[in-house]
Amino acid sequence: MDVKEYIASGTLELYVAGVLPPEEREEVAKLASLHPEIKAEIRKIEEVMEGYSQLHSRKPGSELGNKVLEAIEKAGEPADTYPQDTPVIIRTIHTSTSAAFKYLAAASIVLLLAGNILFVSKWRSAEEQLESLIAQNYQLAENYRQVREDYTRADNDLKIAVNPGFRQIALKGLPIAPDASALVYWNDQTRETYINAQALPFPPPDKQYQLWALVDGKPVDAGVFEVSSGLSGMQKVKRVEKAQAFAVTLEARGGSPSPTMDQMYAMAKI
Amino acid sequence: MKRHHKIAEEDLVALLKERDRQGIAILYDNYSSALYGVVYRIVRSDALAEDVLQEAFVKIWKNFSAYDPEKSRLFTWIMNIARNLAIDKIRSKEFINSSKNQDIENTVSIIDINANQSYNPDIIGLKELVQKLSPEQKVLIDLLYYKGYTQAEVAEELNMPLGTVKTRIRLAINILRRKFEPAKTT
Repeated sequence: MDVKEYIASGTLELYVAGVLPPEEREEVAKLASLHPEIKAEIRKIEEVMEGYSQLHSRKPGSELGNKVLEAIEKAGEPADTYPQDTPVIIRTIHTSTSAAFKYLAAASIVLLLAGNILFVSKWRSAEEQLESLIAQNYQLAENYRQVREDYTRADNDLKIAVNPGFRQIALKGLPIAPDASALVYWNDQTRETYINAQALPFPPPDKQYQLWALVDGKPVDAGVFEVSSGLSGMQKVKRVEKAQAFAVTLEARGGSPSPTMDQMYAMAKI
Repeated sequence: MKRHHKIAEEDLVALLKERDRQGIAILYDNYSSALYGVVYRIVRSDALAEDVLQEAFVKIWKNFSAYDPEKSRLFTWIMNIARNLAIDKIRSKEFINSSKNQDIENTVSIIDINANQSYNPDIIGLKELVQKLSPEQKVLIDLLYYKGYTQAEVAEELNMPLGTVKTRIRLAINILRRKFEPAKTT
């Protein structure tokens, strides 16, 4: 993945706006943790939008501040643990004048608070542990789902590869991409066609690879397919009735009615 | 009385993570106007905006354990909370048609320079850059960042191809970034 191109794509601007769907948001967050330049870019966009929002600020009514603080008091802590009588003890200290009483009250407050602090800190640490376990559980479930998905895909690919009905045609890279290669699996009875194209270079986001079958000297469209970091294995393309050769060209996303000859990445005769 | 408190973001975040009441008070003093501006832009009424702002601060306070400084800056997180609450408020009152059909003049709010901004010299320069934005770019920023439109919704609203939404918002933000990166040329 080209980091500079990714940064230039505008995806990060959408991420900061908070309008990407959850899967894409996760992907950006993951890429940001892997690539410091992406993280830095996100921060810069955030700074800009913070400034922009500050520019368009508006003063709320002067009493709103107090209202907000009151509402927060009412809402309390998420783990609301302070017992009801603590405030009463504090008030008592202020009104009493007896030194002995003050000392007793202070001592009992210290004990009560110490007990509370211990309780609160244990409660918080238990809460944190629970949160962490829940998160771990979720991650395990995610991992399992991903592994199962990968297995199913690998299993399907294997079934095609070992099936004697499928001919395997190895496309070799042309000068534009000498290390490129692709494997076409063609069943000349059922006409089903698959391509395993992970050895082709990742295309830019506005382009897509297209498979062509050469039939009696004419190229026939066999469909477009994806090559990206998220995929592995085989993709089904269009049915191919007849072919003397296969070729892959890079076209605009969506494909093209006829192949762009100087964008041919790989080909092979049958 | 509201003042602006000079405090490093990580210190403020620490206070809030500790559930220190001072933290929320500072957060209010430093950010309430910016958040109020965001909310008012959407609900268009001071009465509604005050309700939403109050709900937003309570939500920010209660959910602060969910804030991850690795994933975003503080302002981005609190702004999204405030914005989404405002959008929900609008939907619940069925203002959908009137707010989305605002014409360009209404969507771009008048810049309100008040005493709160005197602490930040960057803001003054940013104002000039905002003036360099085309009306379409201002609408784009408004729909994506302040109205929470998705890429697809923006494309439909502004009648532009889906792919260009991303490239155009990038261009718009790049113009504004010159304030923060004076040495670079675009």
